[in-house]
Amino acid sequence: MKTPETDIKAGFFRKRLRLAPNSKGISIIELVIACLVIVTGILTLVSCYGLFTAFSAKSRNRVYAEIMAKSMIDRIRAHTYGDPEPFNWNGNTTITLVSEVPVAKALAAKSVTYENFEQSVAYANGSFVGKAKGNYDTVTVTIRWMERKAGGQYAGQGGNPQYTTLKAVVEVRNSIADQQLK
Amino acid sequence: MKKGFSLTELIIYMLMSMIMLGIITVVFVSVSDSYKKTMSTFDVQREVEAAADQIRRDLNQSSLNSIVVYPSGSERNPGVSMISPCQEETFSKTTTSDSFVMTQNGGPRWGRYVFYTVLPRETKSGEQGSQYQGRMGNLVRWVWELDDKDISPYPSPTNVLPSQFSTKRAPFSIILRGVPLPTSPELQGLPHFKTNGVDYGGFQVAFVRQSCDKTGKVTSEYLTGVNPSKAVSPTDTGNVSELVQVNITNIYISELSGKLSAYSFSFTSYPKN
Repeated sequence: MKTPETDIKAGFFRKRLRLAPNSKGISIIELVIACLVIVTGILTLVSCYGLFTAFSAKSRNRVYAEIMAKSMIDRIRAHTYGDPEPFNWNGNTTITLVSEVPVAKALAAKSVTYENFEQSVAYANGSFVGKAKGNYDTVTVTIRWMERKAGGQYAGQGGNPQYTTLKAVVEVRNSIADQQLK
Repeated sequence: MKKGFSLTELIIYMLMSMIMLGIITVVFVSVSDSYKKTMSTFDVQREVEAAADQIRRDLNQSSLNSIVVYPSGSERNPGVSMISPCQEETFSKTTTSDSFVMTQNGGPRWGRYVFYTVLPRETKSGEQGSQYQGRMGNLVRWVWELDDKDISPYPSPTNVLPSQFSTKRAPFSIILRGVPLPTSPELQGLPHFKTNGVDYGGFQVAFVRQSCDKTGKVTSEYLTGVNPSKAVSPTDTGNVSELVQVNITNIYISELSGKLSAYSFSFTSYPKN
């Protein structure tokens, strides 16, 4: 119900919003501004979802890099001190992924993605792999993989891929030499 | 005073509404797609990691001489059996944990065997993945606790097969759903693990043998279907590296989208005892 009070209020807002005294509804400029605000909001939400997807893929890659590093530490533990370095300690390992593909297509289509992890091993003095004399060495295992900055599931999908690195340091000593000393 | 819209205004408003609806539809579809992908990635990753962690822990605590990999003999399905020095301890009504048990002499008390095998998965008709009925499996783990009189001070392989859990009245737990059986259809680019013509499906355990030639070059090869003590003959130049490699493929069909996701990778473990 219209009262003199509501008329005063309406007049105040019209002046504040610079609306024409008799205009009703919304003008095209207001509509465009409203649309822009909505589109900006939606795009922000979309970019957030892109980030979630990227974080999920990043988490998977980090966990696999950790699995690789643990495998490498086990290999180092199983290695006899002073024996030559196995050739497969430095190289690439691949994980194979299929993501959200229709079941019928999965058997025929090229729906498989490969995520590549590079592994390298460095030594403080090399005595662990017989390259130098000594009974104590420090082995550094480095796992490196390509990762997108944001959005996307795989390293190859757009964006700016960059290398991410995980390092594990293992101190090794010649247990046979230790026993001889005793 | 104007009433209603002019034709031009109406056309402009309709065009703007259509553009907005188009944007919202595209955004909704892409967000929903992205959500499903994220959930599938997360689900596959979570299950495979938990399974890999469990297998690694069992292998690390076991002894290399006790490990037997399958298919071998009458056991057709891929799997592995190993001795374990652990015992289940109950902390409360709902919490149990495996604890390492030692003998009075300070050595591991080999009180049980742990088995892993891939059993065919039962899928109801119409359920997600029913097209893989009888051809997809679950990786299961079960434990056979030894009686005190059967416990040996030395770790040795068992004659019990991974599929004989019912004869030992041992309950099994599914540690990974959706592991391809040797009879499962192969995905393009995601083949089954095969060695020497034997199809292992999506689960393979192999011993790693390393050989060193005169130039110092070390090569690795994977031995399957045998116990490592039998893998090296006296004339063989190779030596077992004491490493065990595990290859796993997991195929997951999302309940949300009905689409397929898969994850395949390998890791190496060192049985320390």
